[in-house]
Amino acid sequence: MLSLASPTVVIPSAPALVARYRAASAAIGVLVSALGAAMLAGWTFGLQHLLHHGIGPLMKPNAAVCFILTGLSLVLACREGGARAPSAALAAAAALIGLATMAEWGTGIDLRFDELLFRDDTLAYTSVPGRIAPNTALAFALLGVALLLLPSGERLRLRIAQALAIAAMAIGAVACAGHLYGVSPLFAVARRTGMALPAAVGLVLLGAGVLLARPETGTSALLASGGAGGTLARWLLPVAAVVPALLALPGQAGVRAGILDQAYASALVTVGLTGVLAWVVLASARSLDARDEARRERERQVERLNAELQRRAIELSAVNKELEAFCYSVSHDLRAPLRSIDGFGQALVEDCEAVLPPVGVSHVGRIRAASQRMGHLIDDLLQLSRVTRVAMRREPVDVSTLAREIAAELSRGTPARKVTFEIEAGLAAQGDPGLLRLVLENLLGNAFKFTSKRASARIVVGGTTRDGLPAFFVRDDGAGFDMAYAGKLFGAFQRLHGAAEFGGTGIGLASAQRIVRRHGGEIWAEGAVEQGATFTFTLPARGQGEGEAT
Amino acid sequence: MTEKVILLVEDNPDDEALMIRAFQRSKLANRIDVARDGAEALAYLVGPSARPMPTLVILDLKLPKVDGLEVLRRLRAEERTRTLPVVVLTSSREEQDLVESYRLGANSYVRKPVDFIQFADATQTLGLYWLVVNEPPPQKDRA
Repeated sequence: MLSLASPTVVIPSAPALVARYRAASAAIGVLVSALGAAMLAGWTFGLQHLLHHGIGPLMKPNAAVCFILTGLSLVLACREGGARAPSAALAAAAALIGLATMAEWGTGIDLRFDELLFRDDTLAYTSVPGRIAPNTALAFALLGVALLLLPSGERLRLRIAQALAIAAMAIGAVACAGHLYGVSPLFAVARRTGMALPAAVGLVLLGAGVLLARPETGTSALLASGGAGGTLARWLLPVAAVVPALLALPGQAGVRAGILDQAYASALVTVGLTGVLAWVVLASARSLDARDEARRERERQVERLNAELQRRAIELSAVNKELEAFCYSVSHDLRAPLRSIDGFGQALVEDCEAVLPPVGVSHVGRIRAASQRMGHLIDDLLQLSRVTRVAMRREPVDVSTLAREIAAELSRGTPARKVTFEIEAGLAAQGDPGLLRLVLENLLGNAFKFTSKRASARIVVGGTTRDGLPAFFVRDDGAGFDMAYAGKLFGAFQRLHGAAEFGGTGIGLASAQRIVRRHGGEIWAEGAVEQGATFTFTLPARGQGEGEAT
Repeated sequence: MTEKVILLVEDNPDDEALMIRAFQRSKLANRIDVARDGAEALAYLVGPSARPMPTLVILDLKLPKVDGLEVLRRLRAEERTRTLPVVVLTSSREEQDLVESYRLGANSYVRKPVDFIQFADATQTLGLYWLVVNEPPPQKDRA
């Protein structure tokens, strides 16, 4: 069963419709204010009798005032970010007039404000001259309160406001029907106390205006919805509201003119209504079917893409497994021959000392050094591949403490050096603790290494931001580098210094870059020859940037 | 005092030669028996034709037939060899090997360095610790 009051599914509103409904709501505000003003003008110029006998009775002056008040209140309420107080004051005034009039009817006490503006000598639709009919008064009380609730963006209040507006619309609509069919009990409470037709139409309009003023919430949200339900509602609701009245009008005119009798007119309306409804239902069914088909086509497309994605994921995981096996095998098998070269080289020197001249010993020394160096290269290469293979965790990491620990290790390793570490306190990041340690080890290790030719050195670790992302930097005052080669720094096995000058395999920065990128960040370097270097890397928090999910 | 025998499970003859060389240089005159694959090692240690229990097993991980981790698992499943000291000595630095070895009950995990001097040092330290310093678990049927 479809419930209008509490839709279980909320499809986001179409922004264009929301804007259009707001504009329509404001226009309704202007319209009903103009209606009220026109009525007051009629009273001012004494046209009430003329109009009464010409087209029908005017609404009471107080009702006209209420329309001006509520209409202006609605216009103000539609303005985004406008002052709330004026709108609320106007709405409160209208509600007060409505409530006071109801109190008059209820208690029988005349509060002497019914004929405050004009003396009512038409005696149209009223047993008390100038007094608004009780149903009209109730409708204004409801609309006034609704308009008071409207500016608060709170969901529950908006719902209540919309419910009140719908109630007021219903009162107006019933009165409209009464006028249409000439059935006075539908617009008049006591025999001679009723709602004038302009007031009935105005109330329906005003209620609709209140509903349209907040098209994102509650019942109106359905009309503004971007979904199929919204389309259906936009199609059917105007038809349901307008068509029966349109069909009834000529029939009733015929009845009044004495051409048709009421039963004949009703039969014609029924036939017409059936036809129109059948057409509308078929048209909306076709439109829904088309939408449905389009949606199913999209679903099929998504399924195809999904299958493709899954296939690729399986491929990728197979490749990853192969890579894993390859690295494992490298780790085991590539190192074993090196051990033999190194070991038997040493054995050669030890066992054949007598026959091996010094130059031979020197050659063996070079062979051994090379095999050891290759061992380090293999280790570093494996480390580089490991930083992309290992599963990554995301948790808070205390960068300051990490940097201090690494700095202490470096200082312990070479106690003779005079290096001052300045590490900013309270640096925190989100990421994998093991991998981030590796980044800092590489950056601080580099800073330590490339300041080794200085008598004393200063290494700074600090936090900053870059493009709104948290960033960290490691700065030294060491050998630095030529910015022309900055692009080469992060390539595997790329080195800007000769091995004799500074040791290393050229893997550290490549590893650091891979780790930072896996975290969704970037790393870059700034420096100048003999003027130190600064390495900065960003680490987006979860949800920032395009960090990897694993 | 009974002789303390080392069982070296190693398929690489070069590594075997280097290891024996390192032991000899460190003046540890223990007998070293060698098993060339996992199956040979298991035959030596468990089963109907088992030899007298060694004092220490030095176990490589990457072995023909039955790999080192499987050997370790079976040794720990047998009553006779449950408490036998096993040192894993391997080229691997992969964390999974390290974790798995300890999980299966290895007493120690040592990585073979490329540098022979370091390799000899490691072997010597191992031998000294496990054969001299360490008090081995009592074995009922030790030869």
